[in-house]
Amino acid sequence: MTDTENEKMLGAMLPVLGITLPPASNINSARSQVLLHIGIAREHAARLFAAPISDHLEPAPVFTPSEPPHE
Amino acid sequence: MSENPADLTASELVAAFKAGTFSAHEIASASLARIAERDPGLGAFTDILTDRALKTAQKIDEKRLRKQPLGALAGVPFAVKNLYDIEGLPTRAGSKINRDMPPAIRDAALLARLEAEDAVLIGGLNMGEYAYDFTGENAHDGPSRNPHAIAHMAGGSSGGSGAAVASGMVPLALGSDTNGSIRVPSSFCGLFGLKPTYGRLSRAGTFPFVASFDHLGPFARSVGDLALAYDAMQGADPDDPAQAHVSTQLTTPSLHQPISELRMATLGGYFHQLASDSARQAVARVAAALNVTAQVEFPQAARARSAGYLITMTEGAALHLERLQTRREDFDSDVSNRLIAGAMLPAAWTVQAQKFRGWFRTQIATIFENHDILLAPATPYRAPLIGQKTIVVDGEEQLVRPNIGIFTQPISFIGLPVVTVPIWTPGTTLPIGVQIIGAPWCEDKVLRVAEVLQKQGVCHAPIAPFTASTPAK
Repeated sequence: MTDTENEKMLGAMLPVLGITLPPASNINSARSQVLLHIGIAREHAARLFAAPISDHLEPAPVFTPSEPPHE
Repeated sequence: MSENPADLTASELVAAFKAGTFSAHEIASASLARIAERDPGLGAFTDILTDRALKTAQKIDEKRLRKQPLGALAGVPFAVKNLYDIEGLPTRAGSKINRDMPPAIRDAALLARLEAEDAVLIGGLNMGEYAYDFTGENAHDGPSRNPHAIAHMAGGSSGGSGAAVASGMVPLALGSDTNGSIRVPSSFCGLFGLKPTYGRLSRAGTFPFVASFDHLGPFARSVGDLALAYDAMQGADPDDPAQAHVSTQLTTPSLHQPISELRMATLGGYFHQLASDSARQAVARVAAALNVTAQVEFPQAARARSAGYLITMTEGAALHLERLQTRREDFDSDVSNRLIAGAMLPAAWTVQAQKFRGWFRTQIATIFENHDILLAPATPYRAPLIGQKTIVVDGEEQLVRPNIGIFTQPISFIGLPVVTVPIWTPGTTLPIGVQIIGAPWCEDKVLRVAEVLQKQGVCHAPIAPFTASTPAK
């Protein structure tokens, strides 16, 4: 996605989420910073999706690091 | 032994109290006096509970007078990150918004367990807003400053915990660690910090951040103190649904056992390539002391960090969505902007990140079939300056805030237990931490290795000297 597309997504999602942000006035404005963080997240997502993830893996809602040892 | 109880470790205080060298009231008073002297320059405490502390201390003194059994932490002052419930106070979790919440009606579970062992709660500690932070800088309460060089970060998000223990205001503090918030301040402030296995200690009565990553644990100036506190806090608690059904595993009795049977290696690849020279040297020093020559790599560690990053953004956003809708301007903008971005991310990303987490756990479990202990830097560099935005590593300029947790995040992503040990280089003012990482539920082993390193003098956690300004070299 391009920066413009990120901005379009932000513009579409804000009303859905019920969050208001003033228009970007400069690079430090909230809107500009949110876009920056969306961009960072996209880089992480690209790394995550760079290799296949098996269809059969379980997305554990409550994670346990391993089975506890049996007493 | 020092004449000032505020100079002693928790274990030394317990011994001194039981021997009658100091009363609990004298110990608590010394802690409060140290806070009055040092906290104005450090910003570690947000709540100082003088009346409660002195009343608790008096009760413990009366127990001793009546020759009643005394707890394992008798007379030890401690403080907690302000996301722990403290009866009678709103649980601010570093925020402005939570100050409008009603006061907590009871103490957090771990706080209560320490007091059940006759420790004395002294106060609540500063932290990064809603724990979404690695710097220890708080927009509402000011930054927690590094006691070893006050122009530098204490680290976050448990910055007040790090500053309070490193300055000798309390010998013991509790923090939380979602992506590194115990290990980063331990590294920057030169302390021992324990992040237990995910699901080991109850989180009941604490304000969450990313529930599927949130851990609680102690900071101290000795490994023995970590073990003492950790042992006191173990035990099942039905009020934390994520707590695993594991029996209590006391670590203090086995702390001094030899470690010759433990198979150890350093983590290479990602954990070496992204480290500064100071971080690499610290790991090399620990490895040399332990005669560790083997090296292993975590497969796809960078991908694990990315998955953790995305889960943090989206889970954190879900937690705070209503507050973002109604009180966005009352957040620290650095926090709200990241949370709003997190609310925008596709749900499929988070679900895939959770699936990858399962894969990564399986891969790392195979490494632990042949190893007991892994060594890695806790932070990529020593504490940056407060407010510092960029840093040069290997000749390359990078952003500070998003990168402080690069070595802690892939470890807590799969809930492994870690002790961070502080390493000092002659001629430098600031320390850097090394992570001693174990397989799930093996807190005893990571503590034993840390104890050996402490005994050898490889790592130690001195109280920072009290000067109005301590310039870093």
